[in-house]
Amino acid sequence: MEIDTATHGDLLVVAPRGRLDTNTSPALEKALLERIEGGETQVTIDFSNIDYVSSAGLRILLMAAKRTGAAGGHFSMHAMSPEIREVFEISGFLTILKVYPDLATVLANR
Amino acid sequence: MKTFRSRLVLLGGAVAIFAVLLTTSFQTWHARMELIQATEVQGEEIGRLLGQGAQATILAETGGPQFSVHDLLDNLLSGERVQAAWIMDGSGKVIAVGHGTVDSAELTELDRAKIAEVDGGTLSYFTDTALTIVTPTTAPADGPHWTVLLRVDRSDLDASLWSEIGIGLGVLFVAAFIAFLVMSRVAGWLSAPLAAVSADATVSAPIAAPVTAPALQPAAPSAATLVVTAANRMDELGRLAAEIERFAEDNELPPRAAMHLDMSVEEIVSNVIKYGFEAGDIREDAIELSLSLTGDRLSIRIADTGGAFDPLADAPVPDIDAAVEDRPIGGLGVHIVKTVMVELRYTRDGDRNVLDMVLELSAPAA
Repeated sequence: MEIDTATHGDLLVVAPRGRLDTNTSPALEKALLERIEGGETQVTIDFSNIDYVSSAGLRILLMAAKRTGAAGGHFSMHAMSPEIREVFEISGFLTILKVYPDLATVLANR
Repeated sequence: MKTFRSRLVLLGGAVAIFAVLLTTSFQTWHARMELIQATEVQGEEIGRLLGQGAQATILAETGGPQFSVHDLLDNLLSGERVQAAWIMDGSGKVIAVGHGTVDSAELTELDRAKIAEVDGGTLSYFTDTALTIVTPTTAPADGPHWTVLLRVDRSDLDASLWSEIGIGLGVLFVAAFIAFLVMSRVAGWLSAPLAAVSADATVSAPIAAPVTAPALQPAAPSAATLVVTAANRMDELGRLAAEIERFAEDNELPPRAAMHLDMSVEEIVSNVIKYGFEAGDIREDAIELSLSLTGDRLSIRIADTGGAFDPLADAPVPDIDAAVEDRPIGGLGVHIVKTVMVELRYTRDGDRNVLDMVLELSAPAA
């Protein structure tokens, strides 16, 4: 899976592309955990180019939230489509993870 | 209106059979309606394939493009004497198997030879315990061309049909049939789901035969089906997802419904692969996904040959209100499936797990 990354100060913006499913999630898991373990604990995930998330993808996001949380960092997500947002709602993730409409709101609320 | 026309044809066929009834003996007519009839007690031929006309009607109705392979299978297995049924695609590959009166059955060398030999025709042969019939589905030109192999119990074919039925029941049967035709016109049944003639050769209750087969759905113009088999390997998930995407595009499913379908199949199939099979036990046709769309309802069946595993009951229930630190990683998939589906049913059918789900395309957001 293609994963674009960018930084805004100490905030790492991770933007995966396409499907976040059983077969593609390990690539995101590896990329995210490497950066977090390397000390980049301020992370937001850009969902603009994600069109599908299964529980395998949710699992990676929860894991990243736990790792950054344990290190006193930040973890959020932004730019989700309504369909994907509903999956997070069903999973109960909207109440435990931070989801913002766009990157500007992430920067303002960090 | 394809539906209307096909029913008209069916009704026309029924009227034609009725005309035959008037000009021939009851027994001859009955032979046309039944799949199998006893002929001689001690003779070589104690059962034979009968009623090509009636049988063609059955298979044209159940074998059309609007029916999924499991609808056809259910219909075949509703026969009291049917031990087992197989459905093969055009290349002779088995795409569905079902068991009726027996717990397990395998295709024999003889069966395979007959399937190779049949070439679009119909043939039947005996073994010690069973009569086997190989016949094509007479689907419309644009529908799937399947071959059906039916294994029928031989033990109760020996009795004389005529002596068992008698004139009284025959008259009752005729009366019921006339009533059926009258109701078809008076009550406007032409536009309602029409019960098809059953393939069941029920000697003791012949009246029930023409009006059973509840598994058949009305053939709505938008009905569409997809049947895909997959091996129990994770890399098959991508192929299933691509098939689902194509089905969703072809049938213009709303994006949200398409995603819920995609997710549910991924969750269930990945669980089946993870928990249903011993490590290293890879089977090429381990999993069968069937989709059938009728109006706003999409029926989804996922069947597998793995160990008995009910994903609905056996998966842990996640606490979706737990805080991020307490939230266990995993267990979410089944929760999502249960939330997006309006109906869910697990059955252990012989050596298969069968999960039936229904997705409403325009269901309100959770």
